[in-house]
Amino acid sequence: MPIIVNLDVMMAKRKVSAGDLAKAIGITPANLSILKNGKAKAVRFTTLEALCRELNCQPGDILEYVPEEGSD
Amino acid sequence: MKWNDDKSLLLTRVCVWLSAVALVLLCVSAPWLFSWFIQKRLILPPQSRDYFLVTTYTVAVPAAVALYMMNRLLANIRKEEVFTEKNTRYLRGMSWCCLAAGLIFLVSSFYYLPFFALCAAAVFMALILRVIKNVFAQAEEIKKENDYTI
Repeated sequence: MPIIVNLDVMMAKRKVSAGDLAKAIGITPANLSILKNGKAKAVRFTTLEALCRELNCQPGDILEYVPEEGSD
Repeated sequence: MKWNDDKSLLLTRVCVWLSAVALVLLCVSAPWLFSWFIQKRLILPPQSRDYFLVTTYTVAVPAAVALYMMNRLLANIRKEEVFTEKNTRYLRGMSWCCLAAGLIFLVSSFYYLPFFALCAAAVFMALILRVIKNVFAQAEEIKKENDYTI
């Protein structure tokens, strides 16, 4: 998928563990893992808001658009 | 899950078990039952009892398979695994069982015409189950999408 989730990079920068972050934003560690591994199909605005609040960053710091090869 | 939903599910399971018991009783008592039936209806030749027995025992197979699938489906629903690939497969299987029963009744209607009504009912039921199966397949997709929305 051309949207890359850079959540692990941001978490490393802020030195936050997955368990703590999951608890802070109110989702299960399993769901956070799905998001981190890029398996998620969609992200709710409420989740994104909580992530930005807890990691003190912008949505662009977590999500990145990389054009697919072969597409224009 | 709410208490009422649980109760409704239990009622359905009890009905499925009762149907299974009824099926076994029918299979056991079929020879006696059809002898009595043919005696009551004098238009039927006595040797037609064998035809009735063949119909009963061949229909019992898809009926038993469908009941087994129903039981598995209900067990999955109780585990709150509703819209899964397995359940869609069970519904598909049940639909085929109904169609098989319909075909057996269609063949049987050559010696006893009222079986044609059962054939129509079974084929219609197969059709309804197919539509439900299609709905389940679609719901499975939506659930997958929902599960991966964080």
